[in-house]
Amino acid sequence: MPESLLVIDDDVRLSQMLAEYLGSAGYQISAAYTGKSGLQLARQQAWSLIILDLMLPDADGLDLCRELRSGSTAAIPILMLTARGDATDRIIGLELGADDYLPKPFEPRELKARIKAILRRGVRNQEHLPTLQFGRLEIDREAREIRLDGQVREVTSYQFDLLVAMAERAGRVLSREQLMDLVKGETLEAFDRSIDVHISRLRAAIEDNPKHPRRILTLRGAGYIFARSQDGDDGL
Amino acid sequence: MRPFKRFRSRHHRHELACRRRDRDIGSFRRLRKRLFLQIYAVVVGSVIVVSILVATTAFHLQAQHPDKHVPIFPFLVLSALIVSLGAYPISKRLTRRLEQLKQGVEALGEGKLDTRLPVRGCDEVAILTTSFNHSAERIQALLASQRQLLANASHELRSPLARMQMGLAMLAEQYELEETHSVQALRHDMAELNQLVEEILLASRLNTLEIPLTTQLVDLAALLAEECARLGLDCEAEAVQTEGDARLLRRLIRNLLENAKRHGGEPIEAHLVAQTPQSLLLTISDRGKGIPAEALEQVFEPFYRPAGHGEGQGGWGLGLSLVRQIATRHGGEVACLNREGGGTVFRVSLPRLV
Repeated sequence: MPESLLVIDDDVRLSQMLAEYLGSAGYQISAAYTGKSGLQLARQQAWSLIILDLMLPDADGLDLCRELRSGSTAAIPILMLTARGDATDRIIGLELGADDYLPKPFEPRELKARIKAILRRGVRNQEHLPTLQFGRLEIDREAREIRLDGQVREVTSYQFDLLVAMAERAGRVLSREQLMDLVKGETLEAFDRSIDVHISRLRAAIEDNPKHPRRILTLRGAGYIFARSQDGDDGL
Repeated sequence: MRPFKRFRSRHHRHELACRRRDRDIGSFRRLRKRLFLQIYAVVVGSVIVVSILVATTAFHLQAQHPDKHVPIFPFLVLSALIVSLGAYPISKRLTRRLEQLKQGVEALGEGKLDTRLPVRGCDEVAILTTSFNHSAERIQALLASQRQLLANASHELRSPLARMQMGLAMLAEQYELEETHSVQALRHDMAELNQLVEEILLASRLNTLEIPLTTQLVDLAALLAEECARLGLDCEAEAVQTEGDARLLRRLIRNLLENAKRHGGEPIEAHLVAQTPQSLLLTISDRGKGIPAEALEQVFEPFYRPAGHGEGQGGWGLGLSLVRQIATRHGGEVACLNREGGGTVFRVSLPRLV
């Protein structure tokens, strides 16, 4: 049974191309070109994913997103597309409950990868702690699992806590002392240099090239930084 | 929208009533006339009251004690009191309305574009208030349309780009052209075009001062470290913070680093230090062949291309002009200098948050 996807986008030609492109990847695509018909269609069937454009002729995509988040469609994941290019759209979109966001124009392979990632995460459950996502890296705080490209990476419990502490404060310089404060628990571990050892283990687990880290960065004399923008996400 | 419309129509009626009563509007003649009449009335009134009081007192006094003089001084004090009592509400009312107008103008200047003032009375202050309301409305409408234009332009330019990219991906997949040179080149060109569209839109957004930045606390050292890691560069940074738009500041850093890679030369160094308690200094330096002294300012101009630089070598595009715009919008500045021993250094100073 192929996964069924609903595309709500007023760009008819792009929708048709999407249907063809994603269809050849094994998905079953239906398209709606207005917000109204999109909402109707969304409620008729149990979709695996809705791809929603923010700019529709008859509705604001953000309002539509809010509406889709209530009622029978509340559990269907939403991937937002927009050509408006307003940085705040992304933040609002994700706040309103979109699962991911892709600005137009997008690299079609990137879209395919994002769809795959969302479908893998499965049906939205009202998680207490949402999974943290940084490019290809997922930190599942509920299952206490780290996944890179969907592959589980093994780390110790302390290292997991350390990574979560950093990821929750992505884009900030954290000194060793701050990190130790944030990850208490194992008091035996609390001596200065042990943090460095844990960091290098974490790097081995999640970096493509631990010698040239892109996710956990060192700022000499100040501490560590967990990069806010990783992989394809350029942060702009 | 509703309360606003109601207000406008009420306000409109009022304005019509004003015009009916007096058609020669333009100078401050009417306000002067009214103020004159009011003050005149108060003064004449007090003089009359005081004269009557003096006369009656004199009459009674003389009837009882013919040898005594009428005490003038208390009457003068009384008269001053009456004049001030009468004049106070007049001046109070006028200054209060002017004060209100001033606050309105200030609020508008600070970017509160929905500021409108209630129009009271029919004099010049009321007319001034009316024209203030008109201007504010016009400014608000203009900015809304500018914002709309930006959003539409962005949408209209990006939609065909998205389709092109999609079409290329499908073609490449269908005919297995993915790794060929021409597909790669086409993809590169589309990315370049997309970046240009984005930069032009961003530049015009930054130029519109009324579109506010979304500011937050930004850990600039972390941003610099991230961007340096992205390009495989080293950096030295003190943990300093600033307030601003994190995305724009990231772009500022990225543009400077990419500029150093593209137009400068290795080794590239990035430093971030606290310059004073109030400001921080970011320097990106390279050991390239440097920039001629007369062009040090010109590199910040949009699409600057030095003499002798052909199409193929590429110009500076909008990168550095955006850097300057971003720095300026954050209350900082940027300068390009030649380094001792060859190469260029870009110095960005920004306000620091302690």
